[in-house]
Amino acid sequence: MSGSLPTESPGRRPTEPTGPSPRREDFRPLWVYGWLGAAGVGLIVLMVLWFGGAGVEVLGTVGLLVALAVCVALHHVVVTQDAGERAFARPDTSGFDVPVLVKRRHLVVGGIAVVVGGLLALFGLQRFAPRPPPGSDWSAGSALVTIDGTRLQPGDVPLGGVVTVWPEGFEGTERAAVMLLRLRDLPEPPTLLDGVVDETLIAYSRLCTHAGCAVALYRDVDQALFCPCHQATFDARRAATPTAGPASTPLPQLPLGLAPEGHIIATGDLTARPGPVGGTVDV
Amino acid sequence: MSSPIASLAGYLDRRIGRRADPPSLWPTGVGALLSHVAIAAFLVLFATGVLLAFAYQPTVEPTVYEGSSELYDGQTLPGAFASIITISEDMPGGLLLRRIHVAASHLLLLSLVAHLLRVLATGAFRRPRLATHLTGVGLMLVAMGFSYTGEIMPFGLVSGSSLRIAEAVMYSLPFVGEQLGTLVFDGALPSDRFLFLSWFAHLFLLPPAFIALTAWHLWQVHHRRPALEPRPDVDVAITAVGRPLWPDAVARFAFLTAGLVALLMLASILIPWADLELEGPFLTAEATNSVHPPWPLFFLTGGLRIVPAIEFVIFGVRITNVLIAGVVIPSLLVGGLALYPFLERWVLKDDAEHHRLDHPLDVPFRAGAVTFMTTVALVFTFGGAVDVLAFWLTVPVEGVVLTFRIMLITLPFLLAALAVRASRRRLARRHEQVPTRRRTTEEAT
Ligand code: FES
Repeated sequence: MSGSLPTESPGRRPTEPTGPSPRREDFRPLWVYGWLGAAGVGLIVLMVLWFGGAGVEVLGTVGLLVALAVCVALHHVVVTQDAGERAFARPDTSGFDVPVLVKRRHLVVGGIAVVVGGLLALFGLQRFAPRPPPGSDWSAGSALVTIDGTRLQPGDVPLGGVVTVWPEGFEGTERAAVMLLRLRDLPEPPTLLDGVVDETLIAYSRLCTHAGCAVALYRDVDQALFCPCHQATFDARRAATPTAGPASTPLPQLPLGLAPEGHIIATGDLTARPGPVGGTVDV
Repeated sequence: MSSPIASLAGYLDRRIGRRADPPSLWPTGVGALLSHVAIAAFLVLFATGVLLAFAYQPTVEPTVYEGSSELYDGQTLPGAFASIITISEDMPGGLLLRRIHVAASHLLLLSLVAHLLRVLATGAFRRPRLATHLTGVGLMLVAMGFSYTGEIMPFGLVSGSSLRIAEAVMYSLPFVGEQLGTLVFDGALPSDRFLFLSWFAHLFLLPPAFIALTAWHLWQVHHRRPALEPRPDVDVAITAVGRPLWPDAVARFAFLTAGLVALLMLASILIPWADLELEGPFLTAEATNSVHPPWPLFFLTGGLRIVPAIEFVIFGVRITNVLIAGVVIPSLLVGGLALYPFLERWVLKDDAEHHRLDHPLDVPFRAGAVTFMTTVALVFTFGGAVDVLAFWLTVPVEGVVLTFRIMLITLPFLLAALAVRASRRRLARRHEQVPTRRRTTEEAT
């Protein structure tokens, strides 16, 4: 039998007395119930204040006091009421963890089941699950509009300015978000120079090619686009090629043109699918 | 001692465990403290979470917020964010509940990490506690799931970025990543699907999982009797020492819980955890200057920041930074944590049962390996804050990233070598010394 061998006195640790608390007789019920009662009253006060709509500081302070009162009471219980340590011979545990240890057969069967199930799931996913659309909502001729739908003229974007724009009719759609910037210097290849209007107005997808955050910051000093999520930096003058950080693909560019009425339009879709590049290579 | 609670506890005390076994043993000390803090924190999270759950709305549907927040009164906000503002500003005590909930989540994860580190360093994972260790790692993962879904749920500005990054990690899987990502995230925002999934997991999947795993974990601990630090009076390898459930363990746990509640109350008065007002709601194509996940997930974002930009294609598979940092490295870290006991058993050829905890430097291999894993995890974790560090040190962020890359490939090896050396020295010192009474007492503390 995994024995019960209560050694009546397991001895003493240097710091901690074992065995029943020597202070059992000191137990003061009035002290304990007094503090618990105070905590109860505090709890009622807390409830009243709570439904009275008191602020976080008041509620927090009352709650703190209630918890402290409970602490005082329980501390007295801990100090005076210990039954003390007890010791038993350890049970026989040699049979434990055996499945983890030796039953290779289960592992093999489980492994095969997992592999087969996994392959089936993979196949199902590949075959039947939808994939994200290859392009975006941009097409030749769609006007660039801000979130509230106003069309933009080249003069609306000042030097160093960045405006987030969408194709007209798709305001606020995430994958079509594009930022329109006014560079300080002329863009250079490999930028799609035909897609630049008014010499320095250029547009890139707003979605980072690293992990899809919004590339929210433009640094006018070195004309770089900066993603706050993992600090990918793109050279806005050179086709938004990554210059630092974890991104390996340039931001897709949106080719721009001017409508006869003078507002800015797209002359085609983004040069690549917006957002993070996936792990599968498209064929 | 015949109050109803006392008799109930006495009954439980006699019943817990296999029949014909001695009654339960409840250890005291650091290990018990850490695990009890985790349980108490979970209780607080559960209580506050139940109250908050009634007021939260898992939808991105634009709603007009009307209430006492001057900043947002009359504005159209995503439903989830609007309900968070309502909880904070208009529900009585709502802000306090939210702050306590967030503070307790930090406490839960901190205590779990500390507990795990202690288990690894002292060798508490060895037979017969291999399965106990695995359920512990499972608890850690569930807690991280709580962290992530809990960050998505308010649908603040950062939630949108977090969501996108998780999607990109899925996209980076070869062959099925894009399909999987589309299924889970339902294409472009605004879509309710992922918010709903997060809410569902946070409320209905993860809590039962956590409770079940905790129960299983404790049951295993009880059945195997806790591993104990060496002590002068008892040989803990053959004897298990602990306290009875009543009144010792119950009174201690209640005292600890009350103390933690007091601490959380104080923290909630002093620190504006969880005040999302200034961050604002998620807006398409917007992000703030400093985007950070909750700290338990820093090692993920740190990997995404430190791992260089790579992209090469083999067999139609595109290997990117995201695949390495978002899938490969986390799997290695978690796998390393979970499987370390098996590695050690294999390397040291030690398949015996161990009930006595080691000093962290008692086994050179373990000292080195644990230092290595901890350092890697820490470098990645701090790597999640490169932008903040760059801001504090007023140096360009590229320089900080480079430093972290160098640290990543040097520090773990360096520190592991140092740990192995210290451990060898300790062993050598012990061999040439006749074991004295003093040494054993030192070990016991
Ligand atoms: S998402 Fe832009 S750097 Fe990672």
